[in-house]
Amino acid sequence: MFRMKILYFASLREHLGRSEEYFTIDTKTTVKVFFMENISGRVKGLNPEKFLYAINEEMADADAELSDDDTLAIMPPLSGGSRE
Amino acid sequence: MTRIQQDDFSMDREIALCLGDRRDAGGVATFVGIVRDISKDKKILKIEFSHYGAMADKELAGVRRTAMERFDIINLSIVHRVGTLFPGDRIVGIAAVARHRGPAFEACEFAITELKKKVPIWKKEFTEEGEEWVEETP
Repeated sequence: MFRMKILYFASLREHLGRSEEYFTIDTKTTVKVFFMENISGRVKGLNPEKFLYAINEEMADADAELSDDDTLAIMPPLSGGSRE
Repeated sequence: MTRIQQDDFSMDREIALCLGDRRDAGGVATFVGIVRDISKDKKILKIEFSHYGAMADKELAGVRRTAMERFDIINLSIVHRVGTLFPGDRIVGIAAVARHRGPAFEACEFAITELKKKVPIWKKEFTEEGEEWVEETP
């Protein structure tokens, strides 16, 4: 069993109505698969490729593997701003 | 030399901090980002800036570190505000100290561009028509 803490930010936090959750899953998984199985269905039109991720406060790819006790931050894309 | 805070800041103070007692500095380039009163033809009432504290501190320090390595500068400071800001309020201040102006300007531009790409700070605009997160639609 893997227990993980998930952090939500900005628009995703509002959509889900919470800033964090704990999940316990049976098998090892990647960030992307976790997102598809646990987050995608809760808010319409979410694309895991568009989000930024951090595992234990280090930026991570969607293909990164999650381990027991990890804290995964799911972050909406940054606004970027305009130079022009 | 990098900070995220709710309070306003003074660029004079940022420049003084950044400059210290270095007498080999030939110039300071600065950038100050300010809340506009209009966005996509809508009148802005206020903007709320939120962040992922631990990551934002780390990424902001990383932006400074990269700029210090990449450009021939003496020092660089970056301060970014979070919380509720109103049109005219300062959002971000950057000061780059260098022996010559070229690297100072380049480092300043690099820092604001990288900050916007890498530091997890989000903004939500409040207009007369409602509120909207400023981000690509995921």
